[in-house]
Amino acid sequence: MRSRPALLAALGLALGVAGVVSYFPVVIHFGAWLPRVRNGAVPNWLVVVLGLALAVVALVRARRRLVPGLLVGLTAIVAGSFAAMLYVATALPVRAGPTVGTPAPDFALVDQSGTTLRLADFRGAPLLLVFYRGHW
Amino acid sequence: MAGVVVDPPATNADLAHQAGLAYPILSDPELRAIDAYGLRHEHAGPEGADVARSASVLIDADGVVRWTFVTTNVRVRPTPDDVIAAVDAVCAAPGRCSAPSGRL
Repeated sequence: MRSRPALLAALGLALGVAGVVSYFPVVIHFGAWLPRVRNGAVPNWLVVVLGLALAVVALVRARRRLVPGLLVGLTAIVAGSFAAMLYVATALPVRAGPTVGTPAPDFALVDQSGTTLRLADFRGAPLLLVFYRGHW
Repeated sequence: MAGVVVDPPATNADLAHQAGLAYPILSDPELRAIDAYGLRHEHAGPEGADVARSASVLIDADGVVRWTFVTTNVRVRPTPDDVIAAVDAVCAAPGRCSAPSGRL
């Protein structure tokens, strides 16, 4: 590809892909340290949108628009796939959980040391009960 | 702080050791507590097994639910700031958090 618009559009596509791919290490390895990035993916979206913008600028400036047009399309597909993954494929039905202001249900469960613990064992101080999907 | 999960105690012990977790991980293979808290996630585990929906529940010193975060997306969890704000709200009333620090 010798045309500058095509190169610029290719750079836009590369940025889009980089924005998407870089999200996975965040979630897999750094999610606990970067919770807001894991939740909102804002830095990744900035890179993806920048890539899409570059590709569109390249298309606008191009005299021959076939290649830049294809690259804009691919970048848009990358961005759309990212959105689908973030907001559709990983969405869950709304579930209310326990009602705030009501007594917490009791339990008697065994911890990792073999000790049976009940809710009453945690009385006297706030308890953060975290439910995990499991199957680690 | 305590975790609740369907995995057996031995699996949770391995996880706690590998991740350096210092709080109890409670095993609920029959989803009794998970159901009591309304957090069963049907067919979401391996081979269609039911598991717990990822959620956090803050219970005050008197055993009353004061804050919940039930995720609507597998990626999303409460941030530390979310949890701290909820705990601060619970502890705002005098004498509500008189236990030694580190218990939570």
